Order: sequence, then C-alpha cells, then structure tokens
Amino acid sequence: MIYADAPNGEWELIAPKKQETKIPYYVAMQKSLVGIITEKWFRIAGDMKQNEKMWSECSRETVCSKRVTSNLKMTQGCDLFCLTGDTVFSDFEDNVLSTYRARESAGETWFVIPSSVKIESLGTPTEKGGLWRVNATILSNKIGKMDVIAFVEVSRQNAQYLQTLGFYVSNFNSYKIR
Amino acid sequence: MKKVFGFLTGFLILLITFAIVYLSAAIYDTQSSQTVEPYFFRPWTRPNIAKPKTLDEVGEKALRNMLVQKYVKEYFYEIPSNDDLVVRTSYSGFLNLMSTAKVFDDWKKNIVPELSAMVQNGYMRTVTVSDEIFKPANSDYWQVDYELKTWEEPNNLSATPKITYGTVYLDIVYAGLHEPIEKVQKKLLNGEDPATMFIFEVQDIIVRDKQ
Repeated sequence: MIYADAPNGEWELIAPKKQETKIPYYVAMQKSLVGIITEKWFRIAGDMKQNEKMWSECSRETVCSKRVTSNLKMTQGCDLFCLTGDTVFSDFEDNVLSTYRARESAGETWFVIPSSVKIESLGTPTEKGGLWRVNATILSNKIGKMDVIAFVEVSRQNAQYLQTLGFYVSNFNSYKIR
Repeated sequence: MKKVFGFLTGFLILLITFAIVYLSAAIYDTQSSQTVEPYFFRPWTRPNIAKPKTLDEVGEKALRNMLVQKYVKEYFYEIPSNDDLVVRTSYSGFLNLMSTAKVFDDWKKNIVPELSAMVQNGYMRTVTVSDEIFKPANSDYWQVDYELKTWEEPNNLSATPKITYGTVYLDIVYAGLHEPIEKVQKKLLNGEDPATMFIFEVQDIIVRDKQ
C-alpha cells in the first residue's frame, strides 16, 4: 500500500513487518518521465498521422503547457518535444527521424513491450534531476525483438515543463545490445 | 451466514482501501495548482536466488574472483555521463578505495582521458571478464582476460559495437572482511558498496591489449 503525503510530497510504502520504503515525489515523477520517453522514443506507429503528431515540434508556451489529463498520456501532439530539452529534440530530428521515416515508409512498426521496461537510477536522484538507466525490448514487425539500453539524464526547469513539474529529458543515449 | 457477512465486510474494506490509494496517488503541484498523475511501471524484479549463501559457503576463491571481476569492470567501463566519471575519479570512488595511490593515479593518467573523450562523444563501453582468473607459476600477478564492447553511435540501433580483447595482470592483497559481520550488515543497510567491505587492494596492474 502506498500512502501519499501531499504536504511534503513523500510517498510511503506500507508493507508487512513494518518495512518502510519512501518514494519522494521527484523520484516518482522522474521515473515516470523516463518510462514515458522510452516508450515514445522507440515508437513507430502504423498510422503515419499519429507518428507525425508525436514527432512534430510545437510551442512550449502554448501546447506543451496544456494540462495532461491522466498518466502523462499526452494527446495534444509534440509528445517527444514536450518531454525533452532543445538539444535532445534536435538530436532526434537530425539523427534519428530520417531513419524512422524510412522504416515507416517501408511499413515497419516499433513498439516497446511494457513489461520489459526496467528502470534504475544511477546515483541518487534529487529535486533537480538524476541519471537513469533503462533496459527495454522493442518489438518490430519486420526484424523481431531488439534489446536496448538507454541512459536518460533528467533535469528541471520549473517555468518551461509544467506537465511534468518542471522535469525534462536533458540527455538521451541509447544502444542496441542484442 | 456469518462467514458470508465476514467475506462481504472484508471485500468492502478492500474496495475502500483501493479507492483511497487511487485517489491519493497523484502529485499536486501547489506552484502551478496542477495535479500530475505519474505513470507507474512494473518494478524490476531481480532474478530469484534459490537459496541465500553465507560467506563460508561462497568460499574465499569465489569471493576473490568476484572482487577481481568487479575491479576490472570498474577500470574499463564507460557510460555517457560526465557525473558518473566524476564520481569514479573522486577519492570516494571504488577504484580509489581498492587501489594503492600509485595505481589510482596511473589509471587517472592513462585510462581516464580516453573514458572522458568517450563520454563527450556519447559512447558506451561494456566489460566482460573471464571466469578463469589464475596466477601462473612463478608469478605474483593474477592473470585476467577481458572483452570490451564499445558502441560509438548513440541512438543508432543499426550500429554494432566494436569488440576488443585484452589481458590484465594484477598484484593484489586480499584478506576477507574488514570487520565482524554484524558491523558489515549495518554498513550495507546504510547503502555502502558491498565490495568495499573486503580487505582488497590492487598494488600493481599491467594492461596488455590483444589485436
């Protein structure tokens, strides 16, 4: 059972034998962000319109500050843009997007298997951010399963990333390990 | 009838509990007056260990080999994070705790510049250490073979790693645990690195790359 203490933002796991595990809000938020970016970064949908919406760039002030309805499942578009810093999104546009479009044109789809996503912090996350390691398996309809590892750096700018309490992905490096 | 009533009451309490957990499972940001609902992933369940073993059951040889493997991995691995390298090169880093001052300084002088360049370029390097760790006849050095896999293109899933092999020769001092097991348990509960609980020090290291 998890007890969420609103005033100080601490999360407490109430387990048998009086074991206590506290999950501060900034850890829960960063872990959520890391999981979501992993799902979205490695997603190539069969629907080109959906991909276009997810990969496009919007205004941070208007679109990216719209209230998220539930579970960070964005629907306004520009999903990757709204979760990442300018450098990371530029890297995605310059070095990744062209290969994704080629795969999309060839009818290839990618999907991260949710149960394969394993997230661990490297070092201690703070209210300013943290470094996270993710292991995940991508399922491609053309080449089958791919195991990947990603290192995700999370930073914070309260004024710009309202949907995630200021947290955003400031560095994203991934590699296919199998 | 009493059992049915008991069951229904228990079920109702369970429902109320879940409702409370659900309703409270959101983060409210007082600054922007916005509620954010985090998305939870399945926790990483580590592989099951059939039966925990005591130090005696693991044995001196296996413990020493595990420490040697950890040392060689720490010596060569690289992830794309400057913060990680800062910690490794600090005086509280694993290698400093497990090496003489000369070995640690030599590592910083000879290996760290390469690791630092790799960090800047977004490389990743993994280390696989052979299980066969032995001391050749008439030698004071333990011989350890390793494999390095280096990914030089981040975010390109078509890229394959560059693989290289090498051997290190280690002159080590190993003498089991520093302190009684009760003190070790307390330190582990405080989050200290299990490897630093042992008297283990590398006094000299020779690295030979293989082509």
